[in-house]
Amino acid sequence: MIIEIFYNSILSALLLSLVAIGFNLIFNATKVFHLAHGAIYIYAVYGLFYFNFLLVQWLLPVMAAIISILLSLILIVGVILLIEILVYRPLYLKGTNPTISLISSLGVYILLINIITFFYGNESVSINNNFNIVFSNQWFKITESEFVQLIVCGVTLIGVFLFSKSIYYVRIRAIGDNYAVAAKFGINIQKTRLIALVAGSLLVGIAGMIKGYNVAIDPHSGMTVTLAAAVAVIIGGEGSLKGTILACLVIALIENFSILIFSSQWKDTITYILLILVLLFYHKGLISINQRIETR
Amino acid sequence: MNWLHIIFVCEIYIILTLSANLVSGYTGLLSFANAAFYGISAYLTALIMKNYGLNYFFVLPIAMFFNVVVSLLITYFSTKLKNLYFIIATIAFQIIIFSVLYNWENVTGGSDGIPDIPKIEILGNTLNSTLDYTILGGIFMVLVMAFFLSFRKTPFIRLLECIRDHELETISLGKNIIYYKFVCISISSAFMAISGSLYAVYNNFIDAKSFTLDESILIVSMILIGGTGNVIGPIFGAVFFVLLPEIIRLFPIETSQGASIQMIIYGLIMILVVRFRPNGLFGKFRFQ
Repeated sequence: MIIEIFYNSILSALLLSLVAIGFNLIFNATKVFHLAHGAIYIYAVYGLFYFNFLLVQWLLPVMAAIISILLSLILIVGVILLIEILVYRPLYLKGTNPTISLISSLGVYILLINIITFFYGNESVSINNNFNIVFSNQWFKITESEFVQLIVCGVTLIGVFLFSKSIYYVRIRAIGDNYAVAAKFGINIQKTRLIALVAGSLLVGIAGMIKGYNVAIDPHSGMTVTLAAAVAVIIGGEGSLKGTILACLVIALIENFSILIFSSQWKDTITYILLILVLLFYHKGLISINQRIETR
Repeated sequence: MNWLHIIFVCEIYIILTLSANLVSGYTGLLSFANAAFYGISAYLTALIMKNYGLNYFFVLPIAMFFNVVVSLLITYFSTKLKNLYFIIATIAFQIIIFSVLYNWENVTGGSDGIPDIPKIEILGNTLNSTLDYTILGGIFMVLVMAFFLSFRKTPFIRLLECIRDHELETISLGKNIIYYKFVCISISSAFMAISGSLYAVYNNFIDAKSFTLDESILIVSMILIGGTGNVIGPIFGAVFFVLLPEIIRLFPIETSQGASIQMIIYGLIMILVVRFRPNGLFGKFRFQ
């Protein structure tokens, strides 16, 4: 029982950490509270579903799957580029504040989600319906989709680790600290913003596709996913990728173990109470980066 | 098309947006917890009227008082958190309240909601028709509007605007800003109770799905599009947002697609207003 809960927590923590790291990168670089992150997540699922549906008539299933994954990644990169060029960049050039960009991001989210519901309706889609068991013993079992999830999340997290050692991540942190100083040191701010947005969106796209492979997704679930990621970023401490991953693990453990005490419908409530407590009493988050007192 | 129903919904939303505007527009605390107060008062009214059979006009003050008590929490957030973090805290508060209303099945009926809420009785006459409720809602709306219109040039409102624009300077003038924030958030949440209780008795039935985060987002976008920090802006926003679905319904589109088109228009308007007219159509103030 305990082992099974622990295993489930790790699975959901891995998935949440991909979304949250993406959110963290974008929030750090652009200071936009990127609610449209959830829309990107939904676009990845629907893109995969739609392209797969089209291609599977012409190609072998494996080929169709691979090509449709690539196509939907291209789709979400296109969407995020459009969002940046049409919405976020003009606001940034105008000199904006977090509240204004939050509202415009909310507008983008509503727009994108309802374009999906206009064409597909409100029904949820799922890509895969088989639950073949890969490995099982007396304590727990791993299904095929969970196996895929473990592998893909692991590889992606290694990719994130390599990315966090690269010059690009240093630049993202630099412009996150101070736009003006970073620009004086020759960092191309527009390009760095783009890199952060694209990297974050790719991460959330991968998370969406894994989730869509696992369970049915309905178009309005994007907001919940983004808010969960935002909770992880705030609890973990902004600007710290390690903190975000740690916070995802903490949230997943608390949510999954709370089932032992409360019924499962109170999961969200517990997470958001945790968020409010962290905001009020432990504002720096779990792992915080030292800052000058006046910038805190 | 039932025009009386639409007018009633307009009245409810005008009361909601005007009271939300006191917090978001005048004091600059953008709160996404409006639907929570709307919902709490609706549930409280429904429960008391159904279980104890009290008259509506006794229940309304109780609901208002209870809302004020709950709003102490928002006041506490506003004193400790700023800008983005205040917004996130109110979003979290909204989700928690929704989750309590939705999941606390023994009291709120969970996903089934509360059916058979008694109608209002005035001097032995039961109000049944939509017209009665439209008139009652109209009276409340006019009272709330008169309150805000007479309120807008008072020193109290100036002080709230002062807190919004220069919080530090206000403190250094010796003003107790916690007290002023408390008063403003209390007034706002008390007025929201009027909307909530009217909605509950008018509808006969409530469930938690009417008080989600989306509802809060709708109220906030009404204020933002009309413009914050005055009286005409929120009224325009509320009327516009209530009438938009009816206008879309005139075109020959399927209902579900019509709903999507309506939301697409909301989203577009939000993006465009923020980009080209951050003050809203009639507003004086833009969020800092």
